[in-house]
Amino acid sequence: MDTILRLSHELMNSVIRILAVWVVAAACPAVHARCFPSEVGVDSLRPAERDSLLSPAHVVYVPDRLPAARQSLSGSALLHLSGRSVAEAMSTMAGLQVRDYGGVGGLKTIDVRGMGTSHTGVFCDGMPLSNEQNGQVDLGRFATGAFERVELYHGGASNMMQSARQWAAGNSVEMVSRRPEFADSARFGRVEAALRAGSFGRVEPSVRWERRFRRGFALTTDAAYLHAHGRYTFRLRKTFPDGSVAYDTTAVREGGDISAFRAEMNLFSPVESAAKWQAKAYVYTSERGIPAAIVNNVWGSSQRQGDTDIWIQGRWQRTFGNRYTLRLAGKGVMERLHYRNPDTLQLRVDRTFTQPALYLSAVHRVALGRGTYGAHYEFAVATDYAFNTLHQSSRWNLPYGSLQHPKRHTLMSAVVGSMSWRNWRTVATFHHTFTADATDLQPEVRRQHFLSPVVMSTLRPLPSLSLRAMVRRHQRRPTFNELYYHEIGNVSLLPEQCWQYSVGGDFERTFCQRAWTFSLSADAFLHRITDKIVAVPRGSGQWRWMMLNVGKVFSRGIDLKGKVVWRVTGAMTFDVSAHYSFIRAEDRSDSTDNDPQFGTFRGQIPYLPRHAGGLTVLWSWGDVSLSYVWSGVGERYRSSANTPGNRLRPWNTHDVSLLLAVPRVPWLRFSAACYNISGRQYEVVPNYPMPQRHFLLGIRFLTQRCR
Amino acid sequence: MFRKILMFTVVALAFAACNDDDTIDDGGNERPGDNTSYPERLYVLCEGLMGSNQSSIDCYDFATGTYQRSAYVQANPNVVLELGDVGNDIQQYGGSLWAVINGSNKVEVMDVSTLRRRGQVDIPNCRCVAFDGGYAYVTSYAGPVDDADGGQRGYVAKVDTATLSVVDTLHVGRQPEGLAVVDGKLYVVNSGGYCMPAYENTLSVIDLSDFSTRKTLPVAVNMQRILVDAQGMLWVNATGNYGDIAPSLCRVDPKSEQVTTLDLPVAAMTIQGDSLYIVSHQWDFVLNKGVPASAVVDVRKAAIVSSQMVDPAVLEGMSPYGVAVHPSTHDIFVSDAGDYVSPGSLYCFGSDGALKWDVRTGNIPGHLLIVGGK
Repeated sequence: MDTILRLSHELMNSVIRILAVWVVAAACPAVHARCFPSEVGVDSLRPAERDSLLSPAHVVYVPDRLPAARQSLSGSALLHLSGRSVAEAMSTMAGLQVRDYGGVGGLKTIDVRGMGTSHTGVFCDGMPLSNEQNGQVDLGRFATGAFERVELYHGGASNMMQSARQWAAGNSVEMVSRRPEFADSARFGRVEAALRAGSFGRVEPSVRWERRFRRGFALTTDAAYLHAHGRYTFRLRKTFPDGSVAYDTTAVREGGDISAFRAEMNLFSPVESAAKWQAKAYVYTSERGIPAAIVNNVWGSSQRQGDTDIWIQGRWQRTFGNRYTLRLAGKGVMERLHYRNPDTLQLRVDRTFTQPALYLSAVHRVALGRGTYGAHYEFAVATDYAFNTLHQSSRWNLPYGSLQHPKRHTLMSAVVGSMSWRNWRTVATFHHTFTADATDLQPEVRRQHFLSPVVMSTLRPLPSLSLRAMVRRHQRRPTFNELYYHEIGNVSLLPEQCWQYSVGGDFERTFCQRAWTFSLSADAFLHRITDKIVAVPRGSGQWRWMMLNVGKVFSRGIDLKGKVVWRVTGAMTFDVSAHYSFIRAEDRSDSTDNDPQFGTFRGQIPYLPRHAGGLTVLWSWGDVSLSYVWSGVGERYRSSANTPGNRLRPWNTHDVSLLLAVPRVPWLRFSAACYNISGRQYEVVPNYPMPQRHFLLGIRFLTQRCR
Repeated sequence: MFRKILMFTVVALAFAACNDDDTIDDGGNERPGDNTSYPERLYVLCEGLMGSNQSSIDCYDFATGTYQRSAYVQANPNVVLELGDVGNDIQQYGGSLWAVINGSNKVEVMDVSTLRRRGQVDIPNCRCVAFDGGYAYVTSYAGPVDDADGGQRGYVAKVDTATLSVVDTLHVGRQPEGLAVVDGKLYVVNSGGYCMPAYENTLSVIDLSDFSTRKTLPVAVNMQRILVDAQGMLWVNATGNYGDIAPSLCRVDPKSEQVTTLDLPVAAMTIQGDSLYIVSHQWDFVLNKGVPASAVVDVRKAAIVSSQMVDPAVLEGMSPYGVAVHPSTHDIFVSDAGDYVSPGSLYCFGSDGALKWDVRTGNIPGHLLIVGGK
């Protein structure tokens, strides 16, 4: 605890000092050069894409014309993380926690600002990835290498052309597929083949083929296979308060094996064409063990999971005249999960869950142009329709739970207005969600309506400084499990309500002919979740739990990021970025449980550290680039009763990665990475020990030099 | 700037080098009661949430009035991963204390006064324990699987208490829970808890002379625990089917096989003298909350003597989950599981039902046992 506090104070002090220096520098009148660009009507599907491709940027808050707090992971930083999953890569961002059950195949989800996993919408190329059954999207299955950019928007994105679903998301993760970049000489496209191998018996061959057609269409085809036995050693150690060892033992984590295959195909419209469109087909299959909690006398489980996810999506956008833009999008999904627990020592389960889904979206935007006093107005209307259902089948008739067959129709719409005046811009949105649910056993249709506002505003008083403020409300709809799971589910559940308030700013300046770039971003936030869905004990007996809207959480905190890029020479760059997050998320559910030592009232909610931070150092010199990532997470508690017995100790990891191109052999690249160098034994989820030091080596062949 | 980066790096590395070890859980102790001349101890087996490995044994010493949390860890700090996952039953036999740790697939055997570990018996998915003639009998869900319908029978393991080894097993019905011995016969409750809606409703009657099943006796749907009173009558609580069949308390005469049913929900029960003490926690679907209640039953008359065993004002808001009664003072101990994810509480009431004291326990205090001290 002391070290965490010391570190956080140290961080705070240095950040405050740096801030003071920059504020003085920014006040200098010489920098009042550019004004806030207020032109509208630019293709907003891919904002700031160029910048992030050109710079060796790590995670940056890209100063946006729209007032969202954005962090983006792209360029060579993303390349350094290409052996990791999207969830692991996102741990270098501020203001989120990665829930990791450990190992290559372990479930990995992200929790933004302690709101809970399902408050964050996950989007791939603007289309939602969702799981209506349990609300969790496993970001551990997505390989970073498949994406050009991974972005996190605190409080949701604020693009005028985004779908109603994106407006409704409390926070959003946007993953953008790699669009091929052809040199002029590349007539026939390029092929990229890679092989990665490393700890846990991991072998991962992948191939990518990029093709440009005569009219300028681009087609990419990716296929990757991953196999790992998933075994790793972990250490269990406890000491007496005097430091002497109570026990110290090493064991092997079993049951984390995985075989997964992924294939995807992307078709992109020509860059110059008036209508922008993009289509994607995606197939993912996996067969994996589910590692169990490590408890006394039990060292593994025989639970297994098989997945088959197939989806096809496309979107099309065109501006008619110079005022009206239309965007149409659609997606069809078929997801199948086969869960087995063949262990005859426990309840035998063999069940298959199939979730077909359909998603359609339309966005209309009208730019009204210059109005009185030179203000610009824009309006947009976004509507989404989604159909979700869940089929379940069980090999055995007896295991508990009658099989329900829920269906859900969702209609979402958003009305957006935007006003820009000089260096100030405000976006106001009302989004409305209508859901209609029914099941075979409960054919009576449940209808729910919710209307929520979003107001976001940004001001750029100086070219290098932008300030933002946001107020929004969003809902987290109950999942099928929460509503309909046998006995535990509760059909009268309401969605969780969340009010978010946030203020922040970005500052970025370059010095000495752009040799030095400093950027800093800070956000302070406050949010209040009511009607939080909590499993409430329902007396004694087998069906102990009942889902009820009884939780209340009140949180406040800050997210800070600082970044320095130093271009030492034309070829050599240093890029240092650091982030720190503080969050105090109080459980305000039960005001009677207020015992100062054992009570849950005003206790920090489970698994959420008050302090978390990280440091990334990226050094590139020509074809060699080295990255170092440190992440640290402060103490946490298993329960809102923050007792010493429920305390989870702090942990931190150091990762190093090296990318290397052989001189004069441009078609060959090597990569080597070592994660958790210090061999720290830690747990993100209690009783799920994480791997100690592990390695990943890679080799990549390219038919043409790029990226 | 470089100095700052350097400073930051140094701080980061220093932080990384520091070793914040996990220390054994001290648990802490309190002194809620007073010094008394009673030599007994009250053991509280806390279940802990499934998969959390947070099962623990707390100990209240009547002589000193002190309450020690995590007493098992204090007595056995070197046991890797402590007591284990989900303690389901705790019983005394001679100088040993037997704790059935369901999620850890084992029965932990300890010295009854020091809690020092004597050994363990590996029994998968074990539930409850009873003793007779040098043997322990442990119920387990993990019997043979019927591939036709996927159903699974349970079994009873016969354990030699001297060698702590399983000497025999016998298949019983589905998901067996509590068990009790009367006149050389073992009565095992078959719950069928995994077989919703086809719950079991029988007791398996096992002759201990040859360890074979004599008959199965239908009593009530989805039974859980079984106790024996001074007259040799069996008391079984049935949970019902959470639907049209309500929970009940049944008295079974092992000789005539006559069943007397009381419409009384039971979360936990204990017998002291001729009184059966009951706490319950029934879900009210209208209010959407649990309603705690308590009662005392006269076991000779099979009639409810009091439906307010303890002060209802104190009981209100509790999730009562365990009960014990001191043999001499008749003080009533009720454990409260709270929200099942944070530490529970133990309440001590006088024999008149008035609150004497309360103390915080481990997570989900479920099973209370008073043992004669020395």
